[in-house]
Amino acid sequence: MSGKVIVITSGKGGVGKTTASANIGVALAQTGVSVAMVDMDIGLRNLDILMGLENRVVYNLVDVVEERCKLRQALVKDKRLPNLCLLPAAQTRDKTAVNAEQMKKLCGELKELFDYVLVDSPAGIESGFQNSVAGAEEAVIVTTPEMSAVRDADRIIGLLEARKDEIQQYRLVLNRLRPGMVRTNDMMSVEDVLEILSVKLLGVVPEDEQIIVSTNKGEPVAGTDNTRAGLAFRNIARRLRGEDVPLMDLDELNQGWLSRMVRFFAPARA
Amino acid sequence: MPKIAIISRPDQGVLIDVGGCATLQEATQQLVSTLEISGEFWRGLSIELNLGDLSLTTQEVGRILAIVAEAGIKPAQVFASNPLTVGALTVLKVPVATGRPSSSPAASEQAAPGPAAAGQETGGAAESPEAGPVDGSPEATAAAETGGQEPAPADGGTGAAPGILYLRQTLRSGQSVSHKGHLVIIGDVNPGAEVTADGDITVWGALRGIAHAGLNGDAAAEIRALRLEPIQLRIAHAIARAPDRPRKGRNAAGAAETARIVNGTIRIAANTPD
Repeated sequence: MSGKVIVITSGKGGVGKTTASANIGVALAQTGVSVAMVDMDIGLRNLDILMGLENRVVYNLVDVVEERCKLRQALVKDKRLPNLCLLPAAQTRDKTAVNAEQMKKLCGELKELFDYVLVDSPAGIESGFQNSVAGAEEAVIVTTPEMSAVRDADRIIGLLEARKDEIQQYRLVLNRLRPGMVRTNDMMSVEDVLEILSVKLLGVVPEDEQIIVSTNKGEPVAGTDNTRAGLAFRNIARRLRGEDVPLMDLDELNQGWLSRMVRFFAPARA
Repeated sequence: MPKIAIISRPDQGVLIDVGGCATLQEATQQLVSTLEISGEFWRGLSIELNLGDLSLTTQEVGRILAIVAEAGIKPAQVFASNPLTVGALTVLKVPVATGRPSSSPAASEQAAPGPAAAGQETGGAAESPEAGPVDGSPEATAAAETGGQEPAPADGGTGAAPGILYLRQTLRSGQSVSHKGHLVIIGDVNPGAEVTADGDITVWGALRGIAHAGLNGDAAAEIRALRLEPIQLRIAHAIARAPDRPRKGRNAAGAAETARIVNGTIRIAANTPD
């Protein structure tokens, strides 16, 4: 088997890299393929918490790299999806604990075992980022519709373009969009962001309070059926698999159940 | 992230390892914050300092020595592997040793037990009225000379037993402490922090991180805490993990609890005095 290594990165912190990683991982695994998620945020690991797997972590990525355990021993199986695994970061070490060569080797090994390898990159453009992209052939750039996040995403895209030989494709996930604010011109729209970044769009994730609940519970929203963000992440996973899925209608989503009903009946009355 | 390791070695006193820091700035910042919270703890102890690969001028070494001096530390010996730093230490007439100290911080990352024992939940542990006395565990393997250390108020009433590291500090995410004997922490161990000891681990506070007692395979080692709410407990070769959903009502009284191995698995029981 030779799977695909996809790095999830953003430059700026707090835009939802780890949330995106967890949800895309869950959504991909739900489509039936095998998925490994790699937490590269050594020293500030979070992905295990979002996945609700913190208490099952025994070995970590640094243990694997330093050959204190076998790769298979360090992989933590997801609670719900048997074809989803997590390779946790080390918490008591820092970014210098691994180098790019080691990451390349590790990604190579994971590729043999899984259809998809998702690498959750740390914020920043330093060694942690460099190591995260080292073994990747595709990148997902996460940003929010804010100037600062878009600026940092632009910087990241520049760095990814410089690695054209390795990174064959990179696409954007626009996270935490509030359609209501876009309508009132208080927030950058999808088009605004794409105009600045001129990059292929992989998906748009609307702001959703359920994300906070799911983070605290350790159950990514993509695993449950009835959230807007969960649906967005499931669409993203399908697009990663090569399916052509239209963007969901965010205006529709933003309106309440009642107004949609009214709109549905309105033409009949007229 | 803290990159300073404090390692207590039975026959050589305490080692403060700054070797994990990449720059002088990082080293000084971390030293200040580490030593600040430890207060007067260091005064009079036999302490060695490891500067690792840091490349420092005489002036810079002077700054580091000033920081530790403020905490009452006069290092008995300073380890350094960078020639410039070694030179600077020589100029300052500090007892210097080249290379790495015998107990490197990597020791705190010691091999964890095999995953075979994993899978049992601490929350599912039956209250087991185990007969053994609380301090029934054998003394730490290595008889210690943590030497002039202040008498540690020992857990089991054994007085100032040797080999006890007594730490008055809250361990935060990413920090780890490893000790060859018993480990007593006055403060909390937060999630993401890791404490390991060859002997028992006692936390006078909340244990919410990972604790590994009996690191060398001593199955009689125990872990006790005022609030025992760990992510994972490891004793010798057994592992127990926290339940995936917190159980309401368990230990509602908030009493201190002890974890020990009973019939090969880790069990938690109220911390009853003998």
